[in-house]
Order: sequence, then structure tokens, then C-alpha cells
Amino acid sequence: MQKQGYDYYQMTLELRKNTKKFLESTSNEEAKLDLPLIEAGIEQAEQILDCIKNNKFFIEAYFCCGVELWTAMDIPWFSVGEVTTWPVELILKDMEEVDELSISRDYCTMVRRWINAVEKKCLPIPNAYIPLLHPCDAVVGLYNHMLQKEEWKDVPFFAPDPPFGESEEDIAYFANELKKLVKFLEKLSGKKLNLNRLREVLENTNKCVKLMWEYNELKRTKPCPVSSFAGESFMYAIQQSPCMIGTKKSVDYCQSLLDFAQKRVEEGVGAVPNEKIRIYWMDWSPTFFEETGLTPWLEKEWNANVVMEYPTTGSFTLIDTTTEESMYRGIAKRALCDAGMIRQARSSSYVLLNELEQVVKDYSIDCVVWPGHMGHREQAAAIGMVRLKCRELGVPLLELESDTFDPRYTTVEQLKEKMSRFFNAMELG
Amino acid sequence: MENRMKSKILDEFYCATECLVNPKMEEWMKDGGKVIGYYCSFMPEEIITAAGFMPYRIRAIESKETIDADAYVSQLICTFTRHSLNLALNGKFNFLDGMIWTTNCDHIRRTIDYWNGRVDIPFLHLIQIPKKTGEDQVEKYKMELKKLIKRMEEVYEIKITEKALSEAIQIHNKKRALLRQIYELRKSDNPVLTGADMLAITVAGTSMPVLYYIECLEKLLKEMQVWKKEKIEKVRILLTGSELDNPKFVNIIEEMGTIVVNDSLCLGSRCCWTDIDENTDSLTAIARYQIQKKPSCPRLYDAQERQIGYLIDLAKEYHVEGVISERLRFCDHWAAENVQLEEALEKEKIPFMVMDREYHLGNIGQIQTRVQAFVETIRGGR
Repeated sequence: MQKQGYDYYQMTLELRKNTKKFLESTSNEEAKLDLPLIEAGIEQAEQILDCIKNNKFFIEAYFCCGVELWTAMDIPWFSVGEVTTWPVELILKDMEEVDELSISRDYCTMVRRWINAVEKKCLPIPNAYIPLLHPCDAVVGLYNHMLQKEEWKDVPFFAPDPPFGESEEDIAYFANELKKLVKFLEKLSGKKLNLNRLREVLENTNKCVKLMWEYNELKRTKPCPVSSFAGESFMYAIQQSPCMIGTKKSVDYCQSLLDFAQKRVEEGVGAVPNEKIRIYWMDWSPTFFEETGLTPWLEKEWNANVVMEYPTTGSFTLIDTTTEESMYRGIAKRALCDAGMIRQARSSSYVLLNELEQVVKDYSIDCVVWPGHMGHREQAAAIGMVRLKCRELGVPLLELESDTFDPRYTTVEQLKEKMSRFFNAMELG
Repeated sequence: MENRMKSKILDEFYCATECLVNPKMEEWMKDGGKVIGYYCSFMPEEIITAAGFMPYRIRAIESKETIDADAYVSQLICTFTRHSLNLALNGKFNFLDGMIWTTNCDHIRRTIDYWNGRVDIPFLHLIQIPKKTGEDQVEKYKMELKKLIKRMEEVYEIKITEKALSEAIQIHNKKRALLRQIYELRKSDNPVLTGADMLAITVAGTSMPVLYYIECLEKLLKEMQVWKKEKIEKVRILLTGSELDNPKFVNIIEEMGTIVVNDSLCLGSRCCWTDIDENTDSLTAIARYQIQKKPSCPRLYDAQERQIGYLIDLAKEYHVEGVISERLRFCDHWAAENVQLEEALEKEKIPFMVMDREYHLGNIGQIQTRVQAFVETIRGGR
């Protein structure tokens, strides 16, 4: 009998291989660019399978808890959150089980799916884990839940405590938490954090950030050279894809994204040739959008392009690699104040309002879409401020009610209808 | 509430729960006393008392609608937040001289942005609460308290001294001790106070000058010594869950053949079950109490044993036959906590029921039906 999580990762590996095959065969040149990302995903799945099978040290963690540190320590890792990247068919099957949990259905679907994955014992049991305590209340519930589970309760953990604020004092506090995290990982894994290796990882991420800045500059062009939500790929390269972060291949990957955009700009070609509507999407892209044809529909039916979304609005800064302290502080700041969705969700509403103003001005935004993900309470608590800001900026705002992780909540047809009505009413099409 | 014992003090407490500004508070303000509002029990009342002001926990009891709040926050935000914001936007909290938030939940924490500039109150402040319970977090929280004190001293031109803090701790510890004595009397197999009475007692204390409140508790305890009640067979319930400040809700449960003999509520027993250490420096003692000692709510990570263990201990001590968890719809903390409670209570063979509710009592019939079914299950299993 295989150890817990082996089958799950075998399935993950197969899914990623299928995606790779699809990308290799597609005629969509822009989509093809993501091959290195998928290959990194395959590499990670194989790594985790190897760890499970051969009792090698690995951890469960989330990117906004100092991912650069365990990456530099060469510790394999996976995230409970990976279940949310499944294809729609599997998500729907999963949701049938999720709905049977005795947890309120108004609780974030993403976290309910994570809890289900824990309940169904499909996740591998790592040698240690790093509970995620931000940006929302719901994630704390997940990790509190894990503490009670037989399979998890003896697994060592260290949860860096995220402060609410963004002052130097707050960043220093979180940096100190990250130092303790490293000691914890060193003790358990037997691996030492090598500062030169950390510097190398950070410098590669810095190169990716610089490339993202250039890419974002190009996205200001009308028509926008790249497709809706395309910029999210940078987040994976910089922070989220386990076998990609801090590597030369991540830099090459980001460079290829930039080159593609640059070429399109030089040729005067837009991703949406007759671009009429430039959208700022105030969240991540819904996981089912591409697969259910919603993004292509936006582009074809309405000549609309989501030119900017939460993860890559440009607030990433470079990490100063001169000293150990500057590296820790830079990692802390990136985890708290740079990471996409994290920065907008965790602190004051003014963070997302300032960003909204900047994006609307810089990217010639025609309308703002507020997806209204059912689990994002901190967003739900800020919508009034967003309304006022949009009014002040003179940009129309569409408020949707949706579930980024469950296409049943508001169906694709309902979303299309709402968007169509809005575009018509605002005479944007 | 027909089961209520005849007591002017109890009447006064009930009256305080039914309005935003009670007569004693009016008197305090008329005499020039300042009132500082707060949303959550992670805000230590002791600091406000040490400043010479009256702590006032925000409730939305007089609110009938959320029209103005709904222009700012969506329907995914709990109705307690929406009702209280609605009151604030309509000037109903303008009697406050200051308002302090904590980062207690995603619903409440961002409402400070709406009060700011829209509510006529001179002092707004937000305290960061750590999410776990280590020594560094005690220190971090203590720093937050220092910042609060510094700002209060600047704004109100006062000094909050160590002596004043130490005295405030003693005062609030005395209040807690008296409340515990009242809770203790509810262990009996025929408690003279209902759960609704108990909630009225604890909630009233969050909107009265503390010294006056202590006097009332002392008098009430004396009165209670001679109280007797005819014994009626009832199912003994422990109530837990989200913010609950309305004794009428408890009364609805108790009308269905139950008596709520104890609770694990932030406006109930959790606010008085442990004391703040009086033998160490005050801010450290307050911080340690808040982060490490008092029965916690699910907001903190890694405080589960303390949280659930507390509830189970209470259930055993008070011979509880069933636990009801009331949850404000959309409350994330309690959505997750209820799953864990269900598992923990199942191990202890204690029946458990989760009841989603809105801040105002719009679905009484539904609540009663559910409680009735729960009571029948318990009786059937006796």
C-alpha cells in the first residue's frame, strides 16, 4: 500500500503531463510560453513523489511565508492550495464531497476544498509544515483544523505571525519570525541556510521582478499586447511555482514573456485586435475562466482585455541582497506587502484604493470589474471605498457576485449576461 | 421574560442591554465623564479605565436596518458589522469620545476606514492583534498597547501611569471574580438565574461605569442568596459561538425547555474566567492575559486546546447535556471552529448543534423548531 498522498501526487503529475501535451500541441503561441512553468510543476510533482516514496524531507507551505528561504535551502515543498488548480471537471467532482462537509457553505470555497483534502486524507504528510496565518481569517481555520487531525497533529510546524501593518517595525517583526522559521527548518531538515545561495535565489527573483516591470510597461500600450490575465504568470515565476522560484529558468521564462510582448508591440499587434474595453480585474482570475471559455468570450464577443489583475499590479520591489538582515527584511516585505492578493487583502483598504487609482491611470482602464469572490470578506468590507474611488476617477465599476473556485456559484452564463448588460449600459462595447 | 426573578438590579441590567445609552451612562457623561468605544474583547478595558474613562463595547441593539452601511459593505459581511456601521454612519455613536478597533476579524477591521471622516469622533485607533500565542506575540501586543497609551495621552492630554493601570487591573479583576461567583451558582441543578439573565448581567457590564457595576454585582449576589425557584425539568445547555449581546436570543432557546447553564462567549464567561496577574508590570500582565491566558476565541492559531478544552471542562462541570453554537452568518472564525467542536464533542459524547443566525432576531420560529428538535434528541438519549 502506498503512503498517504502518493496517489494524489501521481494524479497531479498526470494532470500536469496532460497540460504539457496540450501546450505542446496548441497553435496559441502565447499559451505555449507557459511550457517551462508546467515543466517545473512536473518536476515538483516528481520530487514530492520521490520524497513520499523514499522518506526524504519535504514540507507543506504557502508562498507568502518566506518561500525564498526554504527554496534556498533546497527543501522540496508542496501547498495544500494546489488542489485549486485542478481542471473544472475534477473541481466539480470535488465540490460534491466538499458540500457534504459540515462546514458552512458561506465559508471560502477554496479553504473548504483544502479542508476536504485534509479530511479525505489525500494530501501527503510532510516532515514539517508552515501554517499560513494571513491574509484572511479563513486560512487560520484550516490550519487550526489540521492541528486536530490524527495524521497532522504530530507533524512539527512553525507559523510565522504576520503583522497587520506595513511599517518598518512590522517588517522587522516578520523578518524576526522568518529567522525563527529558518532555525526550525535547519533543525528538522539538517540543512543549513547558505547566505550565498539565498542571495542567488533572491537575485534571480529580482531579475524576474525587473522583467515584470518592463512587461507591465508594455501592457500600457493600446492595444494591449498580451491576453487577459497573462501577467499572472510572473507571480508563479517569482513566488509560487516550487521548482521555478529563484532559478535561471525562471528568469529565462520571464524574459520570454517580455520578448513576446515586446514583439507584439513592435508589430503593433494586440492580443485582442480590435481592443475596445480595457479591464482592471480586482482579484485573481477565476480558476475556471479559461477552461469554460469565459476569457475567450470576453475577448471575442466584447473586444475586451483584462489588462491588469491583482497579482501583478506592479508593487513588487527589489530585495536588497547586501546583508543578511537586508535579505530577511526584503523577504518579509515581499511576503506581506508585495505578494498578489495578499497585500490587497491583509491590511487597510487604502492599499487597494491607491493601487486602483494607479492602475486606472497608468493602463487607460475603461472599467473595473469587482468579482466579489464569496470568501473574500476583507474585499466585501472594502467595496464601498472602491465605489467611491471609481466615482472619483470617473471609471465604471461592475460588481459581480462570484466564486473564484466554484463555477456553480454564479454560472458562466450568468456572468456573461451580467457583463454584457454592463458593457451595453456603459456603452463600452 | 417570565422566568426572571424580581430584582431591580436585574431589571437595570436588562434595560442596559436594550439600549445604546443607559441611564447610568447618561449620568456619567453628564458629569463630564468620557466614553471610549471598542469592538472586541481583545481590547483591554483596563487601559480605558486607567485613563479615567468608561469602556463601552459596541452593540447594535437599536438598529433596525442597514441601508447606509450596505452602500459601503457587501451582503457577505455579517449583520452585526453592518448594523453597527449603520448606526455609526447615522451618528448614533457620536456620544463616544474615542473608538478603538482591533484586527479581530476581516469584517470589523476595515470598518475603521468608514468611520474615519464619516463619524464625528475625535479619536480612532486600531490595535494589531497577533495571530498566535508565543512570548514574542505577547511582546508585540504589549508594544501595540504602548502605542495606544501614547496616543491617548497625546489626544486627551492625560497620563496613564503604571499605578493607574495596576488599580484598573485590580478593579476589573474584582468584577471578574464577582461574575465568576454568579456563574458558580448556576452549577446547581435548579439555577435561579436563566442563561438570558446571565447574558444580561455580563453585557450590561460593558456599558456601565465599572465601579457602579461592581456595586450592582455585589448587591445582586446578596439578593441571590435567598432566591428560590420552583424546579422544572429542563435540558442543560452550554451556549457558544459568535458575538452575542442580546438576552432575547437566549430566552428563545430557553423557552423550548432548556436552561443555558453556562457559555463560552466573548461577552459571557470568557470575559471573566481568568484574572490578570497583579504581581507583574501591568502591560505585560495585560498582554499575557489577552494572548496566553484567557479562554480564547478561534481567532488565534494554536490556542485550540485552550479554547476547546475550556468549553469541554465547562460542559462537564456544569453537567451540560448539549452544546449549541450560534454563528452569525458569514463569520469565518466560527465556521471553522464549529467543525472542530463537533469532532471534539463527539468524542466526549456531548450532543452539539450549530445554528446560523442574523444579528437581529428575524427567524424566531426557525430557531425554536431547531432547538426543539435538539432537545427531543437529547431527551430521547437520556
